[in-house]
Amino acid sequence: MSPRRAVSLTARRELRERIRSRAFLASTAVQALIVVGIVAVAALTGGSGPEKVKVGGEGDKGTGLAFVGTLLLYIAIITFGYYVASGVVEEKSSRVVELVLSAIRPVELLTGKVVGIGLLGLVQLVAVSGIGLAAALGAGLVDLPATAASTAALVVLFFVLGYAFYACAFAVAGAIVSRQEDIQSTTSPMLIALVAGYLAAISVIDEPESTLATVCTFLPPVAPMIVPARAAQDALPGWELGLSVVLMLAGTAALMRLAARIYERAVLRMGAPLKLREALRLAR
Amino acid sequence: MLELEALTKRYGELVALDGLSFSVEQGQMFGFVGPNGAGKTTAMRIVLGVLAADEGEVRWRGQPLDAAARRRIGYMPEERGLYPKMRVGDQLAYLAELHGLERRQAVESSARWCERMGVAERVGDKVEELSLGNQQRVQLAAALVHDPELLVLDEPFSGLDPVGVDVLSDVLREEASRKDVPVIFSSHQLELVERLCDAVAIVKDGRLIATGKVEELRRREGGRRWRVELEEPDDSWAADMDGVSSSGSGVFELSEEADPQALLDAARSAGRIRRFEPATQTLAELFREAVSEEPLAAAGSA
Repeated sequence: MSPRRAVSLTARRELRERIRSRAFLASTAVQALIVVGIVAVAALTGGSGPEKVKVGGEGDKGTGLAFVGTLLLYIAIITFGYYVASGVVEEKSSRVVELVLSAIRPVELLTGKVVGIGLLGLVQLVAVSGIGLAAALGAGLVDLPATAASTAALVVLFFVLGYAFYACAFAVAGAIVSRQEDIQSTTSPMLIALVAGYLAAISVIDEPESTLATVCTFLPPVAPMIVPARAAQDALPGWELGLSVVLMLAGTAALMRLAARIYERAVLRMGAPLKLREALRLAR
Repeated sequence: MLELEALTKRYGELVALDGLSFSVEQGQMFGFVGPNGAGKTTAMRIVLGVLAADEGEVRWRGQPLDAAARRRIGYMPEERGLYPKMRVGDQLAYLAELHGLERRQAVESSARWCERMGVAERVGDKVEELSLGNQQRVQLAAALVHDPELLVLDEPFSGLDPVGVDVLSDVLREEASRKDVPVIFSSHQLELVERLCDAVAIVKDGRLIATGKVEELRRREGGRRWRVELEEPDDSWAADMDGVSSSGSGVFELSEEADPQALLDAARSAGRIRRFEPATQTLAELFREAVSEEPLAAAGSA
């Protein structure tokens, strides 16, 4: 069997099993509600009538759009990163991983899982954005900022980049433990980085051209939440976007290689969680 | 034919496998026995490619076993496991596809094995909703669903009730005899192994102690052990004989030089004989003898 078929089988399983799961439907519903709520608040506070407001009611600057985009990315990366970690642990704790790995290679299983859950994330992101857009149109907020289309495209792009980056780390967090309870502690570094990124993005939302915003644009762990926000406000030079994407890709490639090595060596190990140092030693 | 050749596996200082070699013929039911920690699971994992051997090779039909050939193996790991939240039918079809079946074949085979294992009415249920016994049946179906050319089962009988043991025995015998599939399984239930298997390998501390057809292993010890039953039970009559030692309950072990006829004569003078016959060993006896030899020798030299 070709690696591609192995990856597509495992990815399809992730997608098929999760898309009808209650957890996924619930999280989609919650996010849709949040977005609709934001739109409703914007509609109520921004006034109505002949003078139509932009999403977020902040005029042409697109701050509201930036806020929504950042929030969606933050939630999506955490949610689907966590899916990866708990999916890896589920296979370990149920011991099915040995059976699966007697048929395909660890890196194929890992790739399929990351791709499948990533596609699920895209489905949710598109669904939630669509609902948000529909709500905005319904509320009469049809005058979207000029940056709306490009921001939406960047949200999708940076979900893919940010998710790919974090999914590797979350997969390692899952592979080095044997029980669901233990992933709370091993996923905390990623959660801290994501919260930091989110807070940074929120704090610079009014000054998208500040030094902090520029620096964050080039840091792969936080860039996914900053870049679309800056772009929404038309405050992102093209070269910065290009460099940011290149750095994200480079960071992801490096992390992916490391993660695959640790995963491969840790995933059949049962027992006490591995320390980070031990895990890194496995990667050698 | 499956051949394990000089497999060695170390975990730091611990030597899990120490040059283990044996082979399993087509259509053979092959029992893999040994005390806990002997290296059975390690050997099976190496055959499946889940673990890599430090040295040695596994060959299948004369060729080194590669990933494509491994996909044709049916495996039941020691650590049982299925996706708990996946439906039985979906799960088996998925595993069949992972082992190279096309979607349609996989779905058909999944249904067929659910039928065969008696879980057909549970195909739509999640695995975690099944009783442990039914989970075991699904686990076996998972090993068989892709119509494997070789079966490697780690302790397949553990945790089964007698009916489950019969179902599993029937299925395995059918795979071996009708489809000519070599079936290798480990077990601590030696009576069962003796009843089911054509051949066995006995391992201890990662080394092969004995391997071969069960009959041959028994015969190897044959001619040296005799069962003598007198009307008045008393084993002391043979105490003074050279090369004869009592193993208890009327069984005597003769050295190479000792003559069974002399034993018979001695018995006749000791009382009326009810029974005099070669004592065949059960696999359990062979096993105990084989695995206890070394530590005794070690204790003697210490």
